[in-house]
Amino acid sequence: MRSLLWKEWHEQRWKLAFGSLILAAFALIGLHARVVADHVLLEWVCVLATLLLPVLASTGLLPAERSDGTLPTLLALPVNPLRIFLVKSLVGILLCGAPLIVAGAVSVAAAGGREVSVVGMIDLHVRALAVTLSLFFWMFALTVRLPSETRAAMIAVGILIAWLIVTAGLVEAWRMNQAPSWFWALTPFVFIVGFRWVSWVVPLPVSFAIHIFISLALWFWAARQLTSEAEGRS
Amino acid sequence: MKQLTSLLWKEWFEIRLFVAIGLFVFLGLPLIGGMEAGWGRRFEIQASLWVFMLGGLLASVIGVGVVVRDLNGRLEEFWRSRPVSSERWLFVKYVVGLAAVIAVLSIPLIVQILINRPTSYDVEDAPTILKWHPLLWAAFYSLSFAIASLLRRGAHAAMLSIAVMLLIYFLPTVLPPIHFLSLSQIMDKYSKTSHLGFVVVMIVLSATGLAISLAAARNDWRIESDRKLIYWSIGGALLILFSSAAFQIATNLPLIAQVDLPANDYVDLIQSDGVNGVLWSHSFEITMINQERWSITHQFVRKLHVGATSVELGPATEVKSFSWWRSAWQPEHPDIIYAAEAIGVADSESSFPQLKTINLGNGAATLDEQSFPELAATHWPFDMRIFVAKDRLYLLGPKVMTFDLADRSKPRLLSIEPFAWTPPPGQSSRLVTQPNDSDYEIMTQILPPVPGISPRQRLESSNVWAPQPDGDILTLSYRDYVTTYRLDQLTDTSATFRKIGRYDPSQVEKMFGRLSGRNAALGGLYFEAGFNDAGGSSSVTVFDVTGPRPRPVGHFAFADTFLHELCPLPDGRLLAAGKGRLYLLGPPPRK
Repeated sequence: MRSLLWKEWHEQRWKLAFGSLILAAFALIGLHARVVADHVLLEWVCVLATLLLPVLASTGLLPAERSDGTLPTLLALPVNPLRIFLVKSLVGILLCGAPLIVAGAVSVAAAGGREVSVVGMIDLHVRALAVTLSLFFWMFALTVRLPSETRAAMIAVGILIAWLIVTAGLVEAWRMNQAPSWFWALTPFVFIVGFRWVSWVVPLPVSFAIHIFISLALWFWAARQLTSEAEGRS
Repeated sequence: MKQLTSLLWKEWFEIRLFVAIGLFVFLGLPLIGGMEAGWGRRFEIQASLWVFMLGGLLASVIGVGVVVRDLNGRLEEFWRSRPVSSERWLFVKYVVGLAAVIAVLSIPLIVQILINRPTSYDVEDAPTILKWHPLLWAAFYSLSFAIASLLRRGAHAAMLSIAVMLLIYFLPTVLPPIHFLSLSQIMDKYSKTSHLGFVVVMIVLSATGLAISLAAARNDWRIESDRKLIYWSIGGALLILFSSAAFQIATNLPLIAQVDLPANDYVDLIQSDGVNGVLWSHSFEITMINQERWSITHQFVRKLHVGATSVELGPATEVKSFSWWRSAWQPEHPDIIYAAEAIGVADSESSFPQLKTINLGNGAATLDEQSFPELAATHWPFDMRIFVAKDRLYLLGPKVMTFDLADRSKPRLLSIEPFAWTPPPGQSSRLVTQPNDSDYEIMTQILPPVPGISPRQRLESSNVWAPQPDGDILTLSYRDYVTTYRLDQLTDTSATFRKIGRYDPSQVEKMFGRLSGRNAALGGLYFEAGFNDAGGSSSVTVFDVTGPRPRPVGHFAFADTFLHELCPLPDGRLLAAGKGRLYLLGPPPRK
């Protein structure tokens, strides 16, 4: 397990650095320059994170191994494929979470309490993290069998666009009907876009529970895909 | 010669697919669009928009495409084994590719110019694009060619080329020193500035790209590219763009103090001399009357004291039916406010004037009202003005009423004179502009003929169009630009201003905030509030208007969705108010 973690860390750490640096630099430059109000800038950083990190994390784990031709070797190791999948999932979660934590810490250090309270900043970043992780599990699961990183990236962007369209449709429906729909609970963007409108219709703990359930279902389904592939090879 | 012809034929054979696709996109689709526009209308095409938007992308794609096809793997080894120098072979490739780019992008423009009438409204001006953009396409093509020669991997070279293209497109927009390379500058067909710098830089970029490509072919230079290089390159380019944009309009006004007002208070007016002042505000109360929702407006006035690092507000005094925009306050008598009011006559369209005097100095505010029903006329509400000069108060309407202010809290009527202050013949306003469009060269303000005050006082009191002149300088903002005028002639009856300069904000400034129309000027500084539509926040930009053209010297971003009032102080500081909040900002660092 430790060897697998070390391997993934060795391969993916530059992505961790890339995500952290881009988000932290964006937050730091924006908060220092103050071209817009702090809450606006922080929302931009979080939106950038939700668009960038899940794609970056999900495409570089299994599809990259396939396109590099290293997946058969990895699956041929005397290790349970489920364990390989678990390690890759943990690294994916780290790739999604750590840059947001770094960006949040930089934001708090640079402008905590200036216009937005520290609690407000943490709250925003936690909600962005929830969106990012939810999207990651969708992308990770639906790209698990793809042969190349490029194709996986296209599918991941497609998933992102699909959820954005669904969310835009829900926003428009809310504007027309003046009543938020329960479907809000299904979109990963509920934690950011729909939060202020639907928190009283879809309570936050319920939203979290629904997304944890969906993510687990997707994870087990994708794990099953990989293990069956490993069994097929053996 | 035969060898050259063979190489040319080979390159043309390989590139003709790009040419066909490019002509279909840039000429075929606009032709179809022109046909779809409907029968009965004159046939016109709009190719220039596509060429303007996607021309650089095509140049990059062809630049990468022509190189990686041959400079890759075994095909490259084959070509190197032929009795032709690699530089010559690559140079032919470069020339054919460049010719294809220029042809594919120029032919649609030429067709558009030939088909469309000269008076047609074209989204992008085809002759201007045809004049300047080939140089830009050549630069994009050459740099993409060089990147592909070094990387030799199509996808990676294309992504890097797009990153470089973004930098060339947008860096000049955000960095003032290289603003002469900006497309907005180039596409301004009315601009009188020389584009020689643009021409030189584009030729240098093209030559550099070609030289690097030839050197790479001769010396077999190559850069091993991987995902890391691509991610970091694109991320770095985006960060450069963002930081350049951000620091171009970075906030540099220090926030000295911030005072919370009641959450529903909207500030209408702040008047201050830098020490004392008054603040007018209003709030709405929703109430149910006979099971119907009614909104009741409450108006308040507060005394204001500005310290070195603080702002103190006095208790709010509610005033009813008070027209703050027709009020007069003097720093020498900070407790006294005068306001003119038009009181309607029951069952009639006419009204009569009323002078209100508020004394804020005795703890609880006192209100004195003097009504003049004997002066009932139909026009009092419109042009009624009030202003104070020394110990006289003038109330201007259909008549001019003069009051003695020996007792400041009790104005005494001295005289009522006929008053004729009408716009000049043929004009609907007392502000006459030439030419009569948005970018005036000359503006003439017709001054109220109030007896006993100087033309300068008349000018300062003739606040027809905000803001009032600051000394001899009048600054106006319209759409997205700011224009300054200098007082050219001042007579008893008019003040004439001539345009001296104009500031056009960059695309980035427009992106981060549009002008909101709230503005103020004092001490050679012009303050303009901006509104950021995407972010739902507002900002204020400070311009130095003492030079030949307005120059931005300060900026501050607010969390409020809208700034309601700006009040500059004599020392360069600014009082700015949003909903339920009052800010005291320091002066800009450079004045």
